[in-house]
Amino acid sequence: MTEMGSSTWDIIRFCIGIACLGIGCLLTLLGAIGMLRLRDVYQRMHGAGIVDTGGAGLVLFGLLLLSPDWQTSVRLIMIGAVLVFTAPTATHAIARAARFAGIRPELAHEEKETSS
Amino acid sequence: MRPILISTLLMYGLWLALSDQYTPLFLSLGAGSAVGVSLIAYRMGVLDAEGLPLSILWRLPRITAWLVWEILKSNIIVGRYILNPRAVAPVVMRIKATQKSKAALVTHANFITLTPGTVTIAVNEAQNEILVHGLSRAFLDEAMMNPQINLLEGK
Repeated sequence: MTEMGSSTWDIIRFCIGIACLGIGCLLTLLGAIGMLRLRDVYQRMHGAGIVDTGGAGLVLFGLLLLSPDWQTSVRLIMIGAVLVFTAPTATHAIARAARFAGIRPELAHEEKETSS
Repeated sequence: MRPILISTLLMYGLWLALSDQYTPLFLSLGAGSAVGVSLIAYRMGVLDAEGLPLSILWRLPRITAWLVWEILKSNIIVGRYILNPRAVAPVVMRIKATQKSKAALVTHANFITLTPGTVTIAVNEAQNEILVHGLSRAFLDEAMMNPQINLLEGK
Protein backbone atom coordinates (compact mmCIF):
# COMPACT_ATOMS: atom_id res chain seq x y z
CA MET A 1 0.00 0.00 0.00
CA THR A 2 2.95 2.29 0.48
CA GLU A 3 4.54 1.59 -2.89
CA MET A 4 2.94 2.29 -6.19
CA GLY A 5 0.83 -0.54 -7.55
CA SER A 6 0.09 -3.58 -5.43
CA SER A 7 2.40 -6.54 -5.08
CA THR A 8 1.25 -10.09 -4.43
CA TRP A 9 2.12 -9.64 -0.74
CA ASP A 10 -0.22 -6.65 -0.51
CA ILE A 11 -3.08 -8.69 -1.95
CA ILE A 12 -2.34 -11.63 0.38
CA ARG A 13 -2.13 -9.51 3.51
CA PHE A 14 -5.25 -7.60 2.54
CA CYS A 15 -7.25 -10.86 2.21
CA ILE A 16 -5.87 -12.39 5.43
CA GLY A 17 -6.34 -9.07 7.24
CA ILE A 18 -9.98 -8.81 6.22
CA ALA A 19 -10.54 -12.45 7.18
CA CYS A 20 -9.03 -11.84 10.64
CA LEU A 21 -11.20 -8.74 11.12
CA GLY A 22 -14.29 -10.74 10.15
CA ILE A 23 -13.51 -13.68 12.44
CA GLY A 24 -12.63 -11.24 15.24
CA CYS A 25 -15.98 -9.50 14.86
CA LEU A 26 -17.80 -12.84 14.90
CA LEU A 27 -15.95 -13.91 18.08
CA THR A 28 -16.84 -10.59 19.72
CA LEU A 29 -20.48 -11.16 18.80
CA LEU A 30 -20.22 -14.71 20.20
CA GLY A 31 -18.77 -13.32 23.45
CA ALA A 32 -21.63 -10.84 23.69
CA ILE A 33 -24.15 -13.66 23.18
CA GLY A 34 -22.34 -15.56 25.92
CA MET A 35 -22.74 -12.64 28.30
CA LEU A 36 -26.48 -12.91 27.79
CA ARG A 37 -26.91 -16.67 27.71
CA LEU A 38 -24.60 -17.93 30.44
CA ARG A 39 -26.06 -18.26 33.90
CA ASP A 40 -23.95 -16.63 36.62
CA VAL A 41 -21.30 -13.95 36.93
CA TYR A 42 -18.41 -16.42 36.81
CA GLN A 43 -19.66 -18.11 33.65
CA ARG A 44 -20.29 -14.78 31.98
CA MET A 45 -16.66 -13.83 32.53
CA HIS A 46 -15.70 -16.66 30.18
CA GLY A 47 -17.90 -15.08 27.52
CA ALA A 48 -16.14 -11.75 28.13
CA GLY A 49 -12.85 -13.65 27.87
CA ILE A 50 -13.58 -14.47 24.24
CA VAL A 51 -14.06 -10.77 23.49
CA ASP A 52 -10.80 -9.88 25.27
CA THR A 53 -8.66 -12.53 23.60
CA GLY A 54 -9.97 -13.91 20.33
CA GLY A 55 -12.11 -10.89 19.45
CA ALA A 56 -9.68 -8.09 20.24
CA GLY A 57 -6.66 -10.21 19.28
CA LEU A 58 -7.86 -11.10 15.81
CA VAL A 59 -9.14 -7.59 15.10
CA LEU A 60 -5.75 -6.15 16.13
CA PHE A 61 -3.89 -8.78 14.09
CA GLY A 62 -6.06 -8.01 11.08
CA LEU A 63 -5.40 -4.29 11.46
CA LEU A 64 -1.69 -5.06 11.82
CA LEU A 65 -1.72 -6.80 8.45
CA LEU A 66 -3.58 -3.86 6.93
CA SER A 67 -1.47 -1.15 8.56
CA PRO A 68 0.11 1.22 6.03
CA ASP A 69 3.36 2.04 7.86
CA TRP A 70 5.54 0.78 10.69
CA GLN A 71 4.46 3.55 13.11
CA THR A 72 0.89 2.28 12.96
CA SER A 73 2.12 -1.30 13.39
CA VAL A 74 4.11 -0.37 16.51
CA ARG A 75 1.06 1.27 18.05
CA LEU A 76 -1.14 -1.73 17.28
CA ILE A 77 1.42 -4.08 18.86
CA MET A 78 1.53 -1.81 21.94
CA ILE A 79 -2.27 -1.91 22.21
CA GLY A 80 -2.11 -5.70 22.01
CA ALA A 81 0.59 -5.88 24.69
CA VAL A 82 -1.37 -3.61 27.04
CA LEU A 83 -4.51 -5.73 26.49
CA VAL A 84 -2.64 -8.96 27.26
CA PHE A 85 -1.62 -7.56 30.66
CA THR A 86 -4.76 -5.63 31.60
CA ALA A 87 -7.58 -7.89 30.37
CA PRO A 88 -6.84 -10.83 32.74
CA THR A 89 -6.17 -8.41 35.60
CA ALA A 90 -9.57 -6.77 35.13
CA THR A 91 -11.29 -10.15 34.78
CA HIS A 92 -9.56 -11.37 37.93
CA ALA A 93 -10.64 -8.20 39.78
CA ILE A 94 -14.27 -8.94 38.91
CA ALA A 95 -13.95 -12.59 39.97
CA ARG A 96 -12.33 -11.57 43.24
CA ALA A 97 -14.97 -8.92 43.92
CA ALA A 98 -17.74 -11.44 43.22
CA ARG A 99 -16.12 -13.92 45.62
CA PHE A 100 -15.76 -11.30 48.36
CA ALA A 101 -19.36 -10.23 47.80
CA GLY A 102 -20.27 -13.81 48.69
CA ILE A 103 -21.56 -14.90 45.30
CA ARG A 104 -21.25 -18.68 45.11
CA PRO A 105 -20.54 -20.09 41.68
CA GLU A 106 -23.09 -22.57 40.41
CA LEU A 107 -21.22 -25.88 40.37
CA ALA A 108 -21.71 -29.14 38.57
CA HIS A 109 -19.40 -31.05 40.93
CA GLU A 110 -18.10 -30.40 44.40
CA GLU A 111 -14.86 -28.50 44.79
CA LYS A 112 -11.98 -30.72 43.85
CA GLU A 113 -8.34 -30.87 44.83
CA THR A 114 -6.12 -31.15 41.82
CA SER A 115 -2.45 -30.90 41.29
CA SER A 116 -0.31 -31.11 38.23
CA MET B 1 22.61 0.98 38.68
CA ARG B 2 21.88 -1.84 36.23
CA PRO B 3 18.08 -1.68 36.61
CA ILE B 4 18.17 2.09 35.97
CA LEU B 5 20.19 1.57 32.81
CA ILE B 6 17.92 -1.21 31.49
CA SER B 7 14.78 0.72 32.36
CA THR B 8 16.17 3.84 30.63
CA LEU B 9 16.96 1.85 27.49
CA LEU B 10 13.47 0.28 27.46
CA MET B 11 11.81 3.65 28.03
CA TYR B 12 13.87 5.31 25.30
CA GLY B 13 13.11 2.46 22.92
CA LEU B 14 9.40 2.94 23.61
CA TRP B 15 9.76 6.68 23.12
CA LEU B 16 11.59 6.21 19.82
CA ALA B 17 8.94 3.79 18.61
CA LEU B 18 6.03 6.05 19.47
CA SER B 19 7.50 9.44 18.60
CA ASP B 20 7.56 10.44 14.97
CA GLN B 21 9.79 13.44 15.70
CA TYR B 22 13.46 12.71 15.10
CA THR B 23 15.08 16.16 15.38
CA PRO B 24 17.98 16.66 17.84
CA LEU B 25 15.77 18.69 20.17
CA PHE B 26 13.09 15.97 20.43
CA LEU B 27 15.64 13.16 20.64
CA SER B 28 17.33 14.84 23.61
CA LEU B 29 14.00 15.64 25.29
CA GLY B 30 13.06 11.97 24.93
CA ALA B 31 16.36 10.83 26.37
CA GLY B 32 15.95 13.26 29.26
CA SER B 33 12.44 11.96 30.04
CA ALA B 34 13.60 8.33 29.86
CA VAL B 35 16.40 8.98 32.36
CA GLY B 36 14.11 11.07 34.57
CA VAL B 37 11.36 8.45 34.72
CA SER B 38 13.88 5.69 35.48
CA LEU B 39 15.45 7.73 38.29
CA ILE B 40 12.05 8.50 39.82
CA ALA B 41 11.03 4.82 39.53
CA TYR B 42 14.30 3.82 41.21
CA ARG B 43 13.72 6.28 44.05
CA MET B 44 10.20 4.88 44.47
CA GLY B 45 11.78 1.45 44.83
CA VAL B 46 9.71 -0.15 42.09
CA LEU B 47 12.61 -1.21 39.86
CA ASP B 48 13.01 -4.58 41.62
CA ALA B 49 12.34 -8.15 40.55
CA GLU B 50 8.61 -7.45 40.78
CA GLY B 51 8.46 -4.08 39.01
CA LEU B 52 10.90 -5.04 36.27
CA PRO B 53 10.90 -8.88 36.09
CA LEU B 54 13.50 -9.00 33.33
CA SER B 55 14.34 -12.69 33.71
CA ILE B 56 10.69 -13.46 32.94
CA LEU B 57 10.15 -10.76 30.32
CA TRP B 58 13.00 -11.82 28.06
CA ARG B 59 11.90 -15.47 28.17
CA LEU B 60 8.27 -14.55 27.36
CA PRO B 61 8.68 -14.86 23.54
CA ARG B 62 9.59 -18.56 23.97
CA ILE B 63 6.08 -19.50 25.06
CA THR B 64 4.16 -16.92 23.03
CA ALA B 65 3.38 -19.33 20.19
CA TRP B 66 2.12 -21.94 22.65
CA LEU B 67 -0.02 -19.34 24.46
CA VAL B 68 -1.57 -17.99 21.24
CA TRP B 69 -2.42 -21.55 20.17
CA GLU B 70 -4.00 -22.33 23.57
CA ILE B 71 -6.05 -19.13 23.42
CA LEU B 72 -7.32 -19.83 19.90
CA LYS B 73 -8.20 -23.42 20.81
CA SER B 74 -10.15 -22.47 23.91
CA ASN B 75 -11.88 -19.60 22.10
CA ILE B 76 -13.45 -22.19 19.82
CA ILE B 77 -14.37 -24.51 22.71
CA VAL B 78 -15.94 -21.71 24.78
CA GLY B 79 -17.76 -20.53 21.66
CA ARG B 80 -19.32 -23.97 21.31
CA TYR B 81 -20.41 -23.88 24.97
CA ILE B 82 -22.02 -20.48 24.43
CA LEU B 83 -24.02 -21.80 21.50
CA ASN B 84 -25.05 -24.76 23.64
CA PRO B 85 -25.28 -23.45 27.24
CA ARG B 86 -26.87 -26.65 28.51
CA ALA B 87 -23.52 -28.42 28.23
CA VAL B 88 -21.96 -25.97 30.71
CA ALA B 89 -20.89 -27.80 33.87
CA PRO B 90 -18.93 -25.28 35.94
CA VAL B 91 -16.15 -26.45 38.25
CA VAL B 92 -13.98 -24.72 40.81
CA MET B 93 -10.58 -26.28 41.32
CA ARG B 94 -7.36 -25.68 43.17
CA ILE B 95 -4.24 -25.87 41.08
CA LYS B 96 -0.82 -26.41 42.60
CA ALA B 97 1.68 -23.97 41.15
CA THR B 98 5.34 -24.92 41.10
CA GLN B 99 6.73 -21.44 40.51
CA LYS B 100 9.34 -19.98 42.86
CA SER B 101 9.07 -16.25 42.15
CA LYS B 102 6.03 -14.07 42.71
CA ALA B 103 6.26 -12.63 39.20
CA ALA B 104 6.07 -16.11 37.67
CA LEU B 105 3.16 -17.08 39.92
CA VAL B 106 1.26 -13.95 38.85
CA THR B 107 2.07 -14.73 35.22
CA HIS B 108 0.68 -18.23 35.74
CA ALA B 109 -2.53 -16.82 37.24
CA ASN B 110 -2.85 -14.25 34.45
CA PHE B 111 -2.32 -16.82 31.70
CA ILE B 112 -5.03 -19.03 33.22
CA THR B 113 -7.43 -16.07 33.05
CA LEU B 114 -6.20 -15.18 29.58
CA THR B 115 -7.28 -18.52 28.11
CA PRO B 116 -11.06 -18.41 27.83
CA GLY B 117 -12.90 -21.05 29.82
CA THR B 118 -10.78 -20.65 32.93
CA VAL B 119 -10.61 -17.66 35.28
CA THR B 120 -8.37 -17.21 38.30
CA ILE B 121 -10.51 -16.36 41.32
CA ALA B 122 -7.79 -16.25 43.94
CA VAL B 123 -4.10 -16.91 44.41
CA ASN B 124 -2.88 -18.38 47.66
CA GLU B 125 0.70 -17.24 47.82
CA ALA B 126 1.59 -19.11 50.99
CA GLN B 127 0.55 -22.50 49.62
CA ASN B 128 1.34 -21.73 45.97
CA GLU B 129 -2.23 -22.54 44.99
CA ILE B 130 -4.43 -20.96 42.38
CA LEU B 131 -8.21 -21.16 42.71
CA VAL B 132 -9.67 -21.49 39.24
CA HIS B 133 -13.22 -21.33 37.93
CA GLY B 134 -13.70 -23.38 34.78
CA LEU B 135 -16.64 -23.51 32.42
CA SER B 136 -16.47 -27.30 32.47
CA ARG B 137 -14.16 -30.16 33.37
CA ALA B 138 -12.80 -30.07 29.83
CA PHE B 139 -10.88 -26.93 30.75
CA LEU B 140 -9.08 -28.62 33.63
CA ASP B 141 -6.14 -29.66 31.45
CA GLU B 142 -5.84 -26.20 30.01
CA ALA B 143 -5.15 -24.74 33.43
CA MET B 144 -2.19 -27.08 33.88
CA MET B 145 0.42 -24.63 32.72
CA ASN B 146 3.22 -25.46 35.13
CA PRO B 147 5.67 -26.89 32.56
CA GLN B 148 5.36 -23.86 30.29
CA ILE B 149 5.38 -21.25 33.06
CA ASN B 150 8.42 -22.92 34.60
CA LEU B 151 10.24 -22.29 31.32
CA LEU B 152 9.91 -18.61 32.20
CA GLU B 153 11.86 -19.23 35.38
CA GLY B 154 14.55 -20.97 33.37
CA LYS B 155 13.83 -24.50 34.55
